[in-house]
Amino acid sequence: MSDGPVRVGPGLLTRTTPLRFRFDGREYQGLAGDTLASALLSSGVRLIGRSFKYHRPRGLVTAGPEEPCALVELLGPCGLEPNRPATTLEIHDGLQALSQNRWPSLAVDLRAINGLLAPFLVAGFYYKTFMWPRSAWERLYEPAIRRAAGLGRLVPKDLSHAPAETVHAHADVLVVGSGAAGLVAARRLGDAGLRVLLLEQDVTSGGGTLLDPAWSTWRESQQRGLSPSVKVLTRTAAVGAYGHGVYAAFETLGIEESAALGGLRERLHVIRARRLVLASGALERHVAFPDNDRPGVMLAGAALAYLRRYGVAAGRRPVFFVNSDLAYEAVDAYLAANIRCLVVDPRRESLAADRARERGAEVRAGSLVTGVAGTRAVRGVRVESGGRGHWVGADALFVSGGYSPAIALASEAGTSLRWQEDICAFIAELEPGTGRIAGAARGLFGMAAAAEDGARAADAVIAELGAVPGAPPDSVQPDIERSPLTPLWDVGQPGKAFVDLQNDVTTEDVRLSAREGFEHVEHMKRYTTHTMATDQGRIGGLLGTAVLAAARGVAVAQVGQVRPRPYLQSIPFAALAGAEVGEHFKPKRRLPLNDWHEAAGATFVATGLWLRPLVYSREAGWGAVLAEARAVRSTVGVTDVSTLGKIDVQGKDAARFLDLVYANRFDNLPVGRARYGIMLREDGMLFDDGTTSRLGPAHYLVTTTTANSSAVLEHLEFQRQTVARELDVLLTDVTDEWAQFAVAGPRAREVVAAVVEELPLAATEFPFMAAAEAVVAGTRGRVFRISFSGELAYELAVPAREAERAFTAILEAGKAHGIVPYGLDALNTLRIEKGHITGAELNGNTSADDLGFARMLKREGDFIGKHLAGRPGLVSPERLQLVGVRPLDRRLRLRNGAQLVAPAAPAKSLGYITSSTPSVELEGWVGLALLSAGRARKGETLLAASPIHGEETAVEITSPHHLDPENLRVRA
Amino acid sequence: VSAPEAGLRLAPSPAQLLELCAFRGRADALAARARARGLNLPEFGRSEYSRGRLALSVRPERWLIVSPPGAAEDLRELGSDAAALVSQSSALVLLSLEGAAVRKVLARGLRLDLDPDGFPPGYAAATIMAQVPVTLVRAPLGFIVLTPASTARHLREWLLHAGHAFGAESSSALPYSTLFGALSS
Repeated sequence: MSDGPVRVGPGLLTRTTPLRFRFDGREYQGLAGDTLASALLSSGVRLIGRSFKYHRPRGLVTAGPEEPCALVELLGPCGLEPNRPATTLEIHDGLQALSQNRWPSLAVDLRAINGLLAPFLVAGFYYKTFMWPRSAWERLYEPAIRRAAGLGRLVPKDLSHAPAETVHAHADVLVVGSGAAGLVAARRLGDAGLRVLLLEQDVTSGGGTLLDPAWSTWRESQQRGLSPSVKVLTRTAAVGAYGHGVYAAFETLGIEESAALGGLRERLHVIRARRLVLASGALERHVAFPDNDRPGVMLAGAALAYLRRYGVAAGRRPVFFVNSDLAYEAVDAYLAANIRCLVVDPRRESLAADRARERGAEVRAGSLVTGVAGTRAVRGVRVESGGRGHWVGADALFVSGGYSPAIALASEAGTSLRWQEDICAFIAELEPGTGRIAGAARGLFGMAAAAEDGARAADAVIAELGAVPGAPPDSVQPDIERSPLTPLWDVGQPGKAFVDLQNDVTTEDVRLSAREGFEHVEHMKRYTTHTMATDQGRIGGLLGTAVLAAARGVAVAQVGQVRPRPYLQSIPFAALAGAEVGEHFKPKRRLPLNDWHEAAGATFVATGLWLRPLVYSREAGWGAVLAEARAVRSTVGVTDVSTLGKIDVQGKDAARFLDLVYANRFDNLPVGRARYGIMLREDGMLFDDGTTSRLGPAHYLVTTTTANSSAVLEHLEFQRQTVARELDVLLTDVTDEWAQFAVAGPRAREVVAAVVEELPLAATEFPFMAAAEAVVAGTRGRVFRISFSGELAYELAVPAREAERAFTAILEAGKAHGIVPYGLDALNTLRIEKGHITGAELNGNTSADDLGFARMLKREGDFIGKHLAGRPGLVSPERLQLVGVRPLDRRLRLRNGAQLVAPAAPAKSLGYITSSTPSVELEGWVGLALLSAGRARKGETLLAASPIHGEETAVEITSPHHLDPENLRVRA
Repeated sequence: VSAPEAGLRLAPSPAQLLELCAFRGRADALAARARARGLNLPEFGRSEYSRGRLALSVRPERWLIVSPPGAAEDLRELGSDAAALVSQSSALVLLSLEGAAVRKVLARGLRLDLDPDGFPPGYAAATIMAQVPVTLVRAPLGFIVLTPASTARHLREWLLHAGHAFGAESSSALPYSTLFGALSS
């Protein structure tokens, strides 16, 4: 008989039309329903990838998402994506996949030289070797290692639409796994009227029953009998448990659905369920023997799946190396396909071995496999019994080291693990309030056992949720009698025996870890990278534990397993981002006049979430900015300040509340007046500033900076609900309710007078810091005489819906005075000249005293931040204090972030420039700076050093108030 | 008029919005005063529609009153010592959502369980969708969403984007009486 895998029947595939696909550029054929793995196998392809570290040739090891080796790059409409398991990738006409981690080609990989260097490439090699020179690490070693190591390439192409979405789902019970246990549980839960979400990672429900023809009738009847309240999600893997009944599941859309949804490929489900039934089955384990990674060495259950499901015999002269009766199911299947089987079983005797012999298999009892011949395909297997070994010819080696319940999700849900000796594996139990584990996931192997256990789990949940169970479940044929397994971990022969095939971790690496003191399983994991690959050690995790236990001379149970974390399988970042990409990455807050600003030619700038007009010009440079600012200084301008946070404060204790949260007083603020206020954090640092107006005896309007509006509202609401619970005060966010425009400049009064009714504006009647309700452009609005620009200014507020009407009216009224709209840049120029602060100075690291507000802190009464503001560190005279700076040579510019140094000691920073601008009022540039002991340095000359620009500019230290220090203009 | 096959019809509806915020210990007095004027203030998490007005509560001892544009401002008198009255007419945008796929589209952004058994008509909740605050009211024909005006365009675009595959489209608004008809008792 010739060698190699071949299709021997249809398996469960129903359609025979061939599909064409490409792997590494070569065209192959498969059938509808094939995975890339089964299709390649049916074409005789065994070499599918190269390993991570040694670049050893690798083939298929599993038939599911636990696959460690057969990862491919997928060339799709979005570009090239790495690390797709060939074992779960459904083929379709035109699919293009590439092998990864090989150079120049899969067959000839020059980096396989690493394999010859293996004695030197021990665990921790890179960190031990590339230690010096230190500077070479970032520039030389790391890039080179990354290029050589890497696990596939990500080359995005078309990012025009999101390839993934997130969906929230709710259920009474989440059932994970649709094998015998999960299917029965879902059916019973549904019959009891509960809302059930049944997750199946495979393309169809059925789990293990799909591989046993004796159970197909039963399976179909269960599937048909599911009540409408059971929602089945196939191609959907549970990938995380987060407590409080929140779970994540990852769905890969089928070809048709994907096409129908415009190329959407993945869906992240966020599931909230009252109970979990974990019926995730068990995972077959690998065994450590030399060259246990050769293409053709496969888990016995995978060989069974390829044969029964896809009709592909993974070998025509296979050797089986198994330690349990369960694994003989694969032997039976190959015998039934008329394939000769040699079984190597470490047990002296077993019922399964007897049955296999009767069907014609040769069983070597009490024997071990101790080696594999062949590099790119299995050519032979070394069998050893009683201390004597010999080679037998073979084209495949099917391995089973037993089965471990798939309980990673239970671990994440917070359960501890318990060792169960008869199955040589850890099992878990969920808190009843969380749910139940059922079937093979609980260590109960066999279809009948699983079906019965699924019903038991469902009944327990039904009772807890107060539902009424339906008719009793269908009876099932009993499982056959089985002999116990024997532990089979490491056959202990010299040679490269892998415990983690994806990260190329060998038994020797694990032993080295133990010798070097990394004895804890979590330390071993980090030292060797065992289980740290994308497959998270599904098939070899416990094997590594066992090797570590042997090295330490303790029981496996004592060593434990590494703790799994979300996500349980690798998930593209695109799936986590979902639809929140591109335009929808984060919300944009738009001004009520957004469209007007846009039509007026504004360049927008994102400040936080807000889009604000920066300057009414699309050209770069200071020209347009300074023209806008000059108009304000000389005649009049108007700017949109609607982004300021606005909080409506009402209640008979409103004044007391404001006196608590503000460092200065508000109880004595007369109705109809506004006052500038500063707010400290609890640690005494300055938090926010803004004007607060008293609209009535028990009614204030607080404004906050744009940047801090949400934080201030949260802070105030927190204080109200905790510290100030006894106060009768209500806070309401009215930021979006009011549009607000600052009209500023010597002609501001004339403009405002033309727009506002019922309000005398003469300086005596409506002085600086007056506030009033009035009719603005025909609508009920508010007028505040406050100024950020340093000019005579009014802020007019109207309900946001009336914004355009009011703004147009202001422009119309200002036409005769040459009014211009000005943007954020001009506003910044004006406030820097005036010495007003913004986020650059109010940066979370400054105190009230630093910015010159010490006198505002009230002496009497408590307020938030009062005590900690008095800490020695916050009152030191050496602190950075707000000053003004101007270049001595008026032709030179200033730069934000430039360090201020003394000419005599240029290596010591005394502070830095926070804000700077060309001035419209003065010659040259002006700036604000935070300078150590700054107020005492007025008149000194320092250097503003900006090494990245190669600049050192002599500057004079001045008052921050570059113009009108007496505030005459704002009071005009 | 929207195509009958649209899975989601999305319509911004103008509305007059007034928030009634009861002062400390004055919620009962406010409710009594409102009742006397024919306005029932529902319990927390519920909404109530009567005489062309929708009242809903998603914050403790606070009610949002949704009236058709141009409705008489007769509620102003409810305030005085019992409640702070704050206009939200410009602050919030009201969107009505209906169509066969409305729940599917909302599930792409809402964490709430919208199963009719758990969130039947008349229920209201405050939550987050597409990273912005929303107040959601279940109406017999669909859902009402109230969302801050500054991010309303973002939310509308997000809903149309998320609902694209289901045939989401902007449409003209349904009259409140149609949308809420079955809520009034």
